[in-house]
Amino acid sequence: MEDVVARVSGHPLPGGPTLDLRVRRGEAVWLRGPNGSGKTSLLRALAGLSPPVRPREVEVRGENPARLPAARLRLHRAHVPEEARDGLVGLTVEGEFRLRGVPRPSTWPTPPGQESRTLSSGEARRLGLALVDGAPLLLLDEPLDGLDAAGRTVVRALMREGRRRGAVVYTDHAGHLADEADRIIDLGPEDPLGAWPRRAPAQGPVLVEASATRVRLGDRWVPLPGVALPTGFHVVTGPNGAGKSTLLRRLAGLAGDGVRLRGRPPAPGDVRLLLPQARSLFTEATVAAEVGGAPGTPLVPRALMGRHPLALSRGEAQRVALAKVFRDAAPLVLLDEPESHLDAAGRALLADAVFGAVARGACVLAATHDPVLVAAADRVVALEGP
Amino acid sequence: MRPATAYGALAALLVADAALLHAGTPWWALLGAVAAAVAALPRGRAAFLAGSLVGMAFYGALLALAVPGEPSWRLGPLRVGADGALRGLQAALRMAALVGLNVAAVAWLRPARLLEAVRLPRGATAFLAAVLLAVEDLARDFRQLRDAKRLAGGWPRGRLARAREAASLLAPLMVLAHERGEARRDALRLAGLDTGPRFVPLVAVTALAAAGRLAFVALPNVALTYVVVFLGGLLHGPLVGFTAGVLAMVLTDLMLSGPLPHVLVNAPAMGLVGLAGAAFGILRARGAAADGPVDGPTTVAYAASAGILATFLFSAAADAGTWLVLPELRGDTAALGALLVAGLAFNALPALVNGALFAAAVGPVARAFAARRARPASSPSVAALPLDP
Repeated sequence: MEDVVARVSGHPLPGGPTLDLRVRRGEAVWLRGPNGSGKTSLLRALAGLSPPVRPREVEVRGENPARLPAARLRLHRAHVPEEARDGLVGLTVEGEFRLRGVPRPSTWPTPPGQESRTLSSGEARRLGLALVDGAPLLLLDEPLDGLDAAGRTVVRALMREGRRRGAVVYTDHAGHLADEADRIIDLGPEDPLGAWPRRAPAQGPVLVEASATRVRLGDRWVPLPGVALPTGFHVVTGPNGAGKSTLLRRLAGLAGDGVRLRGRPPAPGDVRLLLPQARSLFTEATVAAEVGGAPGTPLVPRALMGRHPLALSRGEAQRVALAKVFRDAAPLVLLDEPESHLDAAGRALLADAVFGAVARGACVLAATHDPVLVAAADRVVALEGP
Repeated sequence: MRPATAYGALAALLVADAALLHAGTPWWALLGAVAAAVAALPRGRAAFLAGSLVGMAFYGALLALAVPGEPSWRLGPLRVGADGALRGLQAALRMAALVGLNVAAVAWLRPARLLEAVRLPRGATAFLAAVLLAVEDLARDFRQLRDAKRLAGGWPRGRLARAREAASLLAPLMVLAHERGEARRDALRLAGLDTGPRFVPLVAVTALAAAGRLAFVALPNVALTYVVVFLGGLLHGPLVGFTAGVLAMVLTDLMLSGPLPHVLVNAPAMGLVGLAGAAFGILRARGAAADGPVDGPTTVAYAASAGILATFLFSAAADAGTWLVLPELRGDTAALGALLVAGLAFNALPALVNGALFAAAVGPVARAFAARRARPASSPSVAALPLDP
């Protein structure tokens, strides 16, 4: 039986060095490194989505994945991309399974006729994980992003199964899957992950409040609780599809009314909202123009300023989006999965930005599944499942 | 949805369409179909009824003047006839019944579920799904951009100012559409389906053109579709321009109003707009229209003229389609002439708006694409690589 499932020889990394790697049957390889160090690019090359520069630079089971017809390549590798929605090809859940020729699990939680566009980002990731078939090389790019506890259990089971069938190569900025790794490949120096500081719970007067309501999401109604939050850092948690993003949109005044900030309806500029898929908010030709011409901020180093925003890695793009959100010192800052794609340094800078805003008197509310953020929160708004 | 249900529903709809277009169908049956459509429409009944009433008034007045028949009366220099007015009313009632029934059916059947249930070949289903998913993605991108501007206080209240602000997002949306096309290509490769070299621009232009039509559906004959298809032809050549124009109209017609025969005219007419964009690109490349910068006066004047002409030609084609479809009008050249003249007058303002949109868009879009091409590629195309010997 072939021992080496995938081989990488002289693969150039953004920092200048090259990478040699042999992925052996039965092992899980954790690709670690800061934002922009080339982790996603390497996974894409292994998945046959990006062409290697040199012949025999990337091989999966002895073949160059970029040259293989897609139908044959599918037998070699399965890839769950960083943006879960980007991996879907069907218009409905049923169509997704049928187009790929993968049987739908009898325990699949949403209706088979549900349209893909109505899936939450966590549900879309769950669907992407359910579509993984028995290929010997399993590639997972930040598989925990947007997943609730049940989804995280699915990822671990999938990784064990992937190791049994062949090998797993994955990225995981937050290090929650560190115990699954047989080997760690460092693509660049990365700071150790730190816990966010615990602070005295916020006690001030209510800054933002909204009454309970329910909002239509596709074919279903989602109940949203009333909230009354003071200055501080708070999180909203709940299973995938519970309506966390919808609650943030409601507080931003984009889904219904009845929100009050300091006792009155929010004025333009009072609220900043970080949305998922932040890249789609970039409209300028350079990062500098996106962040308002600043020479550099802690979140966005000077080296990124001249680049095209759509040429950034997901983590770099998330930093730019966060810099825009925190630029204006708005009193209400709403963050949807703010830790997504961020490396350890980025997460530390996010903590600085969050607590800096809180120190200025802002209310920062984040929708997240990340236990580090939940542990650091003053209050937790827990939503129930769909 | 089961395939039998999907095909049964489609067959029933086509039979109903054919019956509504039959000259012998009595007016009370048409009225009944309108009432049924109003009852079945999930929302927007008031807008549909108001639209039908305006249509009836327009057709009644137009045919009363153009083909008065007997009895008729003098109204200053004009002759007005009851026979023509009745024909116009019946034609408008037939059109309202046809559109209403199809719109109601599409609202209940859901295009996404219908497309998957008819079980086209895997490649065709995947391609159409890729376009529709990209439409959804781009609609979400537009909403996010709009919401971000709204939160920053940069989204105006007035309709005209809002339309101008929305149009200013065209350049970044065209670049994003290309990114979405690349994401669709990669998703299909991951799912075991390869795509051709023109897949990305075709999906990008078709999806943005379709999304632009759906977003502006309330404004008669003003849509981003024209300018997106024109620019698609300009940037990606005649094949992409023509095919994207045709596909965008077919898909949006099916989503908005079901399988109406108008699409047979609308779709090729929009394909011609894409060819016009490609012709302009070829002229520029040969130097005939190149006057330096892409937003120089010759380029802007050509783009504005193309926008105005495209609007008039498209509306003329649509009017000719209506004339062919409705038995009250078919074969009557005076009625066709009246429709075309009324169309010219009615579309003067939309043509000017579209012309302004073309002129304003061509420079920013070309510059945005040039900036995108200049950046290091984040996801180079596998299809662009030479194959191993």
